[in-house]
Amino acid sequence: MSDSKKNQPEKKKRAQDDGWEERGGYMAAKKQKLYDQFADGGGTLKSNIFHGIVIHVDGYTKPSSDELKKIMHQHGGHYEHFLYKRKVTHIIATSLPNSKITKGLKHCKVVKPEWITESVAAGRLLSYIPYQLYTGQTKLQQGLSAFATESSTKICNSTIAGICTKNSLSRNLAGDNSRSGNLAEKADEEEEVDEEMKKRMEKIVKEVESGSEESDSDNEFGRYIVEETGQKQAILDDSLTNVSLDEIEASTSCTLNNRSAALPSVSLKVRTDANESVSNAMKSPSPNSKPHGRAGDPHYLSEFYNNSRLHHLSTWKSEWREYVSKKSKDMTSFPGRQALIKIVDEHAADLESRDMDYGGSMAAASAKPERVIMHVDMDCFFVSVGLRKRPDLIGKPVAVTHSKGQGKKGPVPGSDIEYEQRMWSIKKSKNTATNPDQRSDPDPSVEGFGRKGNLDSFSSMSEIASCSYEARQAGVKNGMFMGPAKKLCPDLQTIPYDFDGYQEVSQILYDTVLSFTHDIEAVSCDEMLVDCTDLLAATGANPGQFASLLRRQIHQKTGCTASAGMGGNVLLAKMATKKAKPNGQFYLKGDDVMDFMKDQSVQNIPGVGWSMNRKLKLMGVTTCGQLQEIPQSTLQKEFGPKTGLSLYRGCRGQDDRQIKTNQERKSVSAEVNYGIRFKSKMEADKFIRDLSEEVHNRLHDIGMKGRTVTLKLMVRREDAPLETAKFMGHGICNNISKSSMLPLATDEANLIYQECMTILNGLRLNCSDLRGIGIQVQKLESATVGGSHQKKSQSILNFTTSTKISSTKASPHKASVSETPKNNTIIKLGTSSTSANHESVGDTTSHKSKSVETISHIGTDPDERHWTDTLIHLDREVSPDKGSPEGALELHRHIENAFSQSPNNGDIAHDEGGNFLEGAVCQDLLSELSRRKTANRFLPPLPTLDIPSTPEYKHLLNKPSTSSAAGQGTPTTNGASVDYFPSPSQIDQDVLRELPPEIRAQIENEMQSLRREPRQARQKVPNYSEEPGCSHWTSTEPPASPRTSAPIVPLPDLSQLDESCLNALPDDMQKEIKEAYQNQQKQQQSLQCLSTVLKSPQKTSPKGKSPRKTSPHNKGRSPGKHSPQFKVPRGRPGRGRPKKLEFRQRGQPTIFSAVTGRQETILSDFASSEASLPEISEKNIDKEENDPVRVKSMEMDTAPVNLCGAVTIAEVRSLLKEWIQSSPEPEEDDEEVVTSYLQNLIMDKNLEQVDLVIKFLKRHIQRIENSNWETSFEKIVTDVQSFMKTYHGAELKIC
Amino acid sequence: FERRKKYNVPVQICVHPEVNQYITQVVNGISEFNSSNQLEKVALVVCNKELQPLEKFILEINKPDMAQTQTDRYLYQLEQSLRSFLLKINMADSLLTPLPADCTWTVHATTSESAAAKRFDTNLENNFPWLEASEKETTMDNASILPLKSTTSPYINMQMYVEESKECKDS
Repeated sequence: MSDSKKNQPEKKKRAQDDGWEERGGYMAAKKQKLYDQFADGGGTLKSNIFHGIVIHVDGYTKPSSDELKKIMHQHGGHYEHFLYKRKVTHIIATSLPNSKITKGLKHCKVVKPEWITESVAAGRLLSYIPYQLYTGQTKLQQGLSAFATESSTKICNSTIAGICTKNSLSRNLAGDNSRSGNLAEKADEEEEVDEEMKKRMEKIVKEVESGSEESDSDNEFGRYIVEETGQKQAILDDSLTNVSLDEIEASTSCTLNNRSAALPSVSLKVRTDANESVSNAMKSPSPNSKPHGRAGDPHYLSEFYNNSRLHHLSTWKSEWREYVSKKSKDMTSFPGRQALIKIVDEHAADLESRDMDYGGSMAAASAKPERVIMHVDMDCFFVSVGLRKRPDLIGKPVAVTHSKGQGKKGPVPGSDIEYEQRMWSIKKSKNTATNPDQRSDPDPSVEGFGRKGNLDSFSSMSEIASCSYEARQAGVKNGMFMGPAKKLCPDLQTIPYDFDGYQEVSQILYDTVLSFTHDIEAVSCDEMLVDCTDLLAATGANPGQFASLLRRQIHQKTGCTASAGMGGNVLLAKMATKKAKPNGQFYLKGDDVMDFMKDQSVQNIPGVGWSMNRKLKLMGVTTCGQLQEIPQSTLQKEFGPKTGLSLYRGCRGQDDRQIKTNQERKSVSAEVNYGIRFKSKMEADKFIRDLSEEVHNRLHDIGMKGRTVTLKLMVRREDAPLETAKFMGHGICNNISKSSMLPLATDEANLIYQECMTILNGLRLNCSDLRGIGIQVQKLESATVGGSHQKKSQSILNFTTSTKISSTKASPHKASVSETPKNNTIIKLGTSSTSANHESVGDTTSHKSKSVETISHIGTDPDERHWTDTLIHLDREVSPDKGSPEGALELHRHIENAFSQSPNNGDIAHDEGGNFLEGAVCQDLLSELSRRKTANRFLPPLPTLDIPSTPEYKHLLNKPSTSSAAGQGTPTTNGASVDYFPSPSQIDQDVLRELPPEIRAQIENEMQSLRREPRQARQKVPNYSEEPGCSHWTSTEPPASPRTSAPIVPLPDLSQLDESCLNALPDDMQKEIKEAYQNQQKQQQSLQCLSTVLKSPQKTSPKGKSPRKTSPHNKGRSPGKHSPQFKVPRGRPGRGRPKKLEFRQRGQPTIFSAVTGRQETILSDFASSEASLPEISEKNIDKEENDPVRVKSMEMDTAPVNLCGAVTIAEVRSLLKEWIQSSPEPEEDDEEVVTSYLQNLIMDKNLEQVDLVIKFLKRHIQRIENSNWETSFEKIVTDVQSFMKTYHGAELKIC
Repeated sequence: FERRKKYNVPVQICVHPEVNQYITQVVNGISEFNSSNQLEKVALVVCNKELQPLEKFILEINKPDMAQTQTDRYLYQLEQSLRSFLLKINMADSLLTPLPADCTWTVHATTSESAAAKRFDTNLENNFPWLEASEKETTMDNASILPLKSTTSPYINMQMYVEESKECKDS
C-alpha cells in the first residue's frame, strides 16, 4: 500500500499532461501496474498453498504488508492493494477500529496475519477460523468459543496433517501452560487416560438420556424438547471441552476426536427419539373430525396457525435463519467433520495403496480451496415426510393438500365461481395485454389451468403443496388445484399436512449440516445454501465426498432423500440441484459451466419471471445458450442497465450473491386471510386482539420490539359476491394497509392492538366485509436495550398489562379480602368484587378476568394513585350524573356480562362502537367509579371516621368530594374537578385516545386551562392530602345544600371586599373580579360556569406568582383565592416585598387555615382580620406607585442580569457606547453600575459576556484616548478581576 | 483520531478503545453527579510532566431556573449554542500559549463534599474509582481565565472557560 501512495502524486502530475483525464483509465493503468509489479517481484514460486486466495492488508501488521505480499507471491496467492470485496477473499489485520468492523467489513473474513505465517510453516493452508480477528459472537462468548473452535479445528488439522500436532496442542494449552511442558512425557499414559475418558463419556451420555426423558414427561411440545436437549447438548459440549482440557495433555492421538465426534451424534439420536415419541403423542386427532373454523371462534387463530401451510412456509425461513445464527453462536465444534475426515483419510489411504503418485494430486486438490457453494434441497419434502408415516403409499402418486381427495363437492352456497373466474381472467388478460398471441401459448397456462379450467373440473379449490415424482410424471405440478390434478392423475392419493413432521425433519436436516459448518443460508425448511469452501479446505475432502456423506446422513436420520447441487456460486449450485434431482448430487465444475449453461432454460436465471420470460421469447430466446449470444449492450438496452447486466452474467453462470449467514429480521407480522367472516365488530375486535397476541409472541420469541405497526386489511370489493368460491377464502379483495408509528418500540400485545384498532376505526369499514387481517411490526430493535422498559411501564396502559401479569398470580380473593378490613364502609364493595372475582376465576375469556383483576389490583395498591386519579376523573366525565346506588350492582353486572353494558352506560358503550378494549377500559373506569361511589356514599355520614392515617383513607380523601358529589347526584359534580385533575404529565395519551371524542375534547380543554396555570393546580392537590381534618366532609353531609360540593374558588364575600382596593385596580381587573363573583354564584347551579371560573383567577393573575409567594405557608391557601391582597402583587410585574408578605403570613396565620377550610361560615368569622388585609396591600400599592425607582430595583432583582435593562450583548454595547460618547469623563456612580453588572454576570456564570463587555470597553476607551476614561476603565477592570479572583480563584485573561 | 460530525461541526473523535472507555466512564461518573445536581464544575486539566496543571478547560453546568418559560421547543437554539461551544474549543488553541511536549490530562469534577463522600463509598461498585485531587493538581499559580462561551437556555445554563497558568508553561 505504501507503494501506491508514493506513486500517486507523481502519476497525478502526469495525468494532467498526457491524457489520463478519465479517472477510470488512470485507475485501470495503476492497477495493472501494481499487478505487474506483484507478478515480477518476490522471488521464486515455492509452493501453491495460497492458490485462489487474495488478501488485502489493512493497517499495521506483523509481518508487514510488504512481507505478506512477498509470502503470498511465493506461495501462489495474490495480494490486492485495494479492497475489492468481490476479489479479496481475506483481509489481514491485527487491529481494526470498531467502525470499520461494523460498517465496511461486516461480511468479510478478517484474519490475523499469523494465519499466513503458520500456514506457510505448516506447508498447507490452515483453516482461517481460529485466526479470525473477530466473529459475530458477543464478547462474553468469545473467550470460550474461540478457544473451543481453535482446539477442535486444530485437532482436525493434526489428524490430517499429523505434523503440527505438538504446536497446535501447545497453543491450546496456552492458558494451561503449567502442564504443557510435560506433553511428551505423558504420552505414555495415553491408554490409561483413554479408559477414563470412555467412562466419562458414558456417564455423560447417560445423563443426556435421562435428561431428555425427564423433559419428555414434563413438556408437551416436541419443540421444547428440542430446545431442552439443545441446551443439554450445549452443556455437554461444554463439559466435553472441559474434559478435553483436563485430559488433553495425554491425548495426542485422535482417539479423543473420535469420541467427541461420536458423542454428539449419540445425543442427536436421543433427541430424535424424543422428538418422534412426543410428536406422535402430540398428533392432533384426525383432520376429518375437525370442524371448520371461522374467525372469531375462540380457538380459530391457533387452529389456523396450526394448519396454514403458507404460515408455516413463511415463518420457517426466518425461524431457521434464526436457528442457524443462534446455533453458530452456541455450537463451537463441528462434530460432523470428523466423519468426513475419516472418509477422506480412508479414501486417501485407498488411493495411496493403489497408486502413490495419485496421492500427490489428492493433496493438491485438497489444498486448492475453490469456492464451492452447495445447495441442499430435500426431494419433494412434504410428500417424503408424509410418507414416513404412510409407507404403504411409497411408489404411488401422492400429493399433499388440505383436500381430502373425495372428489366433487357442491359449490359453496352464495359463492359465484364464474365471477371469480372472470376476475382472474381479467387479471390474466391485463398481464398478457401487451402480447395477445401469447394467451394461446400453453406454457404459462399451467398454473392458469386450475383457475381457468372449466366448471366441471372446478371441484376442489385447495392447492397441491407438493406431489411425489410419480405424480409429477402424470403431469401434476405443485401449486395446482386439486380438481384438475385429479383429472390428470385419477389415482392420485392425498395425504394431509404434517407440520410437526416437517419441523422435526428440518430440525434434523439443519442440525446435520450445522455439524459440518456454520456458513449456511437457510432458504426454507427443506432447502439451504452451504458455503463449503472452508469446510473442504479444513477437511481436505472434495465436494462430492462431502455431498454424499451429508446426503447419506440425512437419509439415515430422517428417512427422506435430499439432493445436493454444487457450484462456484449460488446460481450454479441451484442449477446443479435441479440437475441432481431426485435424490442425487451434481457438482458443476468451473470448466463445465458454459456448456452446462447452454442447455438451461432462461427461467432458471434469477430475476427471470413470467413476464421476462415472455419478453425473451419474443426475442427468440429460450435457453441460456441463446441468451449468451446476445451482447451485453443489447440486453441492457432492452431490459435496463441493471437487469440487462444481471441477465448477461446470469446466463454465463456468474453470480456474486453472497451466502447470508447472519441476517437480521426486519419485520414481524401475522396475517390471516382465510376464514375471516365477522358478524359483528366485537368479533373483529377480538380477532385483532388475538392476532396482536400472536405478533407479540413472535416478537417476544425473537426478543425484538418494533416501532411501526402496520395493519393490512383485505376488504371484499364492493362488487364481489358475499361468499367466495374457495371455502372461506378471501375472494376478490381490495388491499388496504395503513401504518402508524409508536413513540417507543414495543412488543406489547395491548399496544399493538390499540394501534390497530385506531387504524381500523379510522377506516370506517364494514367489518363483515373484512376478508383478511394482518398485523406487521417493523423498525425492529432489540428488546434488551435498557431503559425502554422502564419508560414503558410509566404509561398507564402498559402498567395495566403488567399488573395483569402480576395480579394473575396474586389470587383475586386475596385482593378483595385485603381490601375489606381497610374500611368498613367498603365492605359492600368488597363483597361485590369478591363475587366478581369468583366469576372471573371460572371465566375462560382471559381478558375479562384480566380487567377484573386489574381493578382489584388497583384497589389494593395505594401507590398507584395517579392511575386511579385518572380513572376517577375520567369516570366522572364519562358519567357525570350517574345514580350511584346501583354502583355495586353495576360492577357486578359488568363483570357478569362483559359484552353488554349496563343500561346506564349503554350510550357510552354505543359511542365506542362496540370497540372491545374501549369497553374494557370503560368497564374498568365504571366499576372503579361505582366502587368509589359505594365507598363514598357511606363516608359522608361517618365524618369522624377514625382512619385518616391509613393510606387508603388518604387515597380516598384525594378525590372524595368529586365522587361523593357524584354519588349524591348533585349537579355540581364538576365543581371540584380541577382539584382532582391529574397533572398533565399524568394523563396517558393512550387512555385519552381511546375515549370518545366528546370526552376527549373536554379533557383536553381542561388540560389546557391547567397548563395555563400549572401552579395553582399543583397547589390544589396538596390541599387535600395535607388536611386530614374532616371539615369539608361535614359540608357534604346535607345533600340538599347546593353549596356542599367542595367550592374550590371560594371568593371572599362581596361584603368583605374592600372597595377602595378594588377601585385602585385597573378597570379590566375590577371587571374580572366582579365577573368572578357572579360566576361563583352561578356555579352552584350550573356546570358550565366551571371553565369561566377557572379562567378568571388566572386572568387576574397573569404573571403567576413570585417564588416567594409559594412559600410553604402559602401552601395551605386556596390557590384560586380571590382575596384582593393577593391580587396586587399578582397584577404587577414588579413583585417582591418579601418582608411585608412574610409579616402578613406570620401575623395572621389563621386566615390561611380558614381559607383552606373553604367554609363560608368560618371565613366570615375572620371577616375582620380579612378586612384589615386589603388596607395593608393598599398601602403597598401606593408606595409602589409613588416610588418608581423601587419598582425598577425590584425588577433588577428578578430579571436576568442586565445593565440598565440591557440584557443581550448588543444592547449592552449600544448602551456603553452611548455612555462613553455622552461625557468626557465618567461618573463614579456609572462606574459602579457597570462593575456591579459585570460582577453579576460572573455570578450568573456568563463569563463570555464579561469578556465581551470588557473587550468592548477597552476598544472604545482606547479609541477616545481619554485619560479619565482609561483610569476608570482600569478601576472597573481591577474591581472585576478581584471579584473574579475571589469567585473563580483566577483572574480573567484580557487580551 | 477520527473526524466526525457533531452538531454539524467537524470534530476529532478519539478512536483508541482504552481512552474511549476511560472517557465513557468519566462521563458516566460525571453525569451521575450532575443528575443529582451536585456538580459544580467539570475541569479537563492538562498537566505537564510534573503533573502541574497548565490548562484547565472548565465547564460549569447549571440547571436553569424552573420559572423560565419553555421557548426553545425544538432545541434549535440549544443546538446552535452547543455548536458554538465546539467551535470555541477549536479556537481556544490560538488564544492560549502553546503547550510543551509530554503533556497529560485528567478530569476533575468539583462537587460538594457529601456527594464526593457518597461517591467514594460507591467507588468499588462501578469499578471506576474517583479520587480526591491533590492540592498540587488543582491549584494553579497566577492563573488567568479565558472565557470561551456561555449559554443560557430553558434547558441548561452552561459556561466554559479556560484557566491557564503562564508561569508553569514558561518554566
